[in-house]
Amino acid sequence: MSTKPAFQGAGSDPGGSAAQCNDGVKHEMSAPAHRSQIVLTFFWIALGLFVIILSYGLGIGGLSNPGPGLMPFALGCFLCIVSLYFLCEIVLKQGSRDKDVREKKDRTHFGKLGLVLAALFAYPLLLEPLGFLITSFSVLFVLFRSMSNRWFTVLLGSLFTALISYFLFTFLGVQLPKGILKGLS
Amino acid sequence: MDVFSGILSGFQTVLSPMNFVFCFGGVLIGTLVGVLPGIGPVGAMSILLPTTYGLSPVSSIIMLAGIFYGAMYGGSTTSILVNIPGEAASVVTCLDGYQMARKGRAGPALGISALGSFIGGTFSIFGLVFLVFPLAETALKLGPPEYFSIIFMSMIILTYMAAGSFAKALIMIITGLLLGTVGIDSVSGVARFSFGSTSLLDGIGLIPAAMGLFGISEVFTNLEVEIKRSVFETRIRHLLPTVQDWKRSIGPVIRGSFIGFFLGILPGPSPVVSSFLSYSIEKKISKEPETFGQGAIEGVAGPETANNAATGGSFVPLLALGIPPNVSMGLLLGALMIHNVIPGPLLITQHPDVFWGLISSMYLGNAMLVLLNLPLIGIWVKILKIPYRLLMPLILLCCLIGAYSINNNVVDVVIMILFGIAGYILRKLDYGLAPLILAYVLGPLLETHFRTSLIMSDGNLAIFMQRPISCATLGVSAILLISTGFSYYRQMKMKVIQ
Repeated sequence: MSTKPAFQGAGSDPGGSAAQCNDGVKHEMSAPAHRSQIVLTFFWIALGLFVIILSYGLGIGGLSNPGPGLMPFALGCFLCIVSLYFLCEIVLKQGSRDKDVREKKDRTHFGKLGLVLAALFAYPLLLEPLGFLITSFSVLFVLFRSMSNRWFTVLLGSLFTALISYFLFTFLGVQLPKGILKGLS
Repeated sequence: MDVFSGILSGFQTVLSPMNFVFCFGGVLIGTLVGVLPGIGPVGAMSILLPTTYGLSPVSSIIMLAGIFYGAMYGGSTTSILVNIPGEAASVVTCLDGYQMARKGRAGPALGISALGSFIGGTFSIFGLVFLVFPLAETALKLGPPEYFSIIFMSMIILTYMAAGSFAKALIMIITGLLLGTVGIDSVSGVARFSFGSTSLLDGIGLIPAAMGLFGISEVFTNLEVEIKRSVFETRIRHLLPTVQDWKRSIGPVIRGSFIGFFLGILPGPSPVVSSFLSYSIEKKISKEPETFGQGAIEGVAGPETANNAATGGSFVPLLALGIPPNVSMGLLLGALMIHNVIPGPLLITQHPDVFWGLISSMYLGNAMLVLLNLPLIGIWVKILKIPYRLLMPLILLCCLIGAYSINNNVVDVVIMILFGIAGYILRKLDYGLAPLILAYVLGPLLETHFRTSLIMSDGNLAIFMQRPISCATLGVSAILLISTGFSYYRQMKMKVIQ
């Protein structure tokens, strides 16, 4: 086994990995979709240009008197150059790709992902007005419910988890908002 | 303070009941996140970082460091028993560890990986103690140009190690550096890219960013793959390797210790890289390379030792220079900065309690980990059976509370979620997240040193070439950059021709 491809598989996921490994090389979860790669590269170019314009306004200064915009300006330029180069690379690669290679079917569960995202965004919105216990209970309920169909278990589980985490984190010195339950304590 | 009395005073610090509990808590959480596939050490460290605000700097760093090296122990358990690496550094352990388990030798596989880890961990602590002093002394003589060059070289090595796509790694580093420029500029006092938001004046927080990239986005990724885990139902017997096993493993363990420690000093995902390097070296020099992949104990002993030795090595640049070589060390840097303890050449003299306390806690922590991972292996096997649908909401709730508790501000929670989405998209498109966050940590340092150097030389860029250390470091960076670019160009050409 050569080390090079092995590095690639592991290096891309330093935070931890849940992929099954049978031959040591972590398999990519889905074949990188070329269109998304190109869209993202255009985003990098746009970001680079945006930064260049903004940092010009901040004042680039000179080499003897470097201004606050100097480093972002240089970074913006680099970002544009590298992204343009990468764009050429993707386009060239696409031309030489083997047509028999079918892309793996994307199995993203958009419904589940959307529900989890909605629950996550609801959390900071509701946390301070409603308080920790009610918000956490509701969000946990939605999250557990997205994973299981047993209503009663989900209800009890969310309630206990919210209570236990409240006492645990309060014990650790974290100040959690009480919200509308303020009068109870 | 000489080394001996330093270690002695360190043990005095660690053995105080409070610090002992935090050391144990750290390695326990480390093993737990190593075993659980849904979350890695970086995610766990960033969730728990805000809860260390109220602790002393020694206690907080002892606990956070424990999570980092504890995860290396826990990760091997899942690799061996379930064929799923608990974290990236134990990917290679699946190859032979799982095969050993299938042949009924799960016990010796777990045993050698824990004992090898212990040897590697201990070796690297010795190495750390002996290397950190001369390095810190040299570092006192370094000025802004040298620091700039060293950080610049770190970035280049990061792209070099990240492999995958060279351009993608570069894009991630540049974006990370750009994220680091958000907020008030430390030299001129001008607010940059804050768009009128007061929350952004202090810059984007490291903790919500790391939590989003390594906690939330990991959950999103796992939502779409059904994680099937079938744990071996057989009883695990004979945890202690036999004499024959030791004879075969001792070479890999010694080589793994050296490989891990020295690779650990370099920037990049060193525990991961060193485990792969150790495996391929063992396979290459083995008399029976065909047994690798069929359950060769050398294939478990070497990599598992190497990834633990790398954890000790990666403390060297952080403690001696104040430059974190990987994301976990970046978080430790952040944790120390919160307590106004600045890692670097002056740390040993200014905060000997932190330095020696950390070193001694690593000795103690490694010993605790062997006890936690060998006699108590049954508990971890049970934990492996917790279904992901129960874990996912818990991980998310911990992230949400963790982000909120940084400043009691919901803006941090929103930032974390946004980073989670960004991390998810980047993961899907095969961008490495570690270079992004590391460049973000190093960015402000890089910029300050660059600008101070220019002010020192009155705008003359030649200052970077006139000073020997800086010149040599930049020379190495240039060679690395050119060689990477060249091999990349050749690959591309081959592909286009085909």
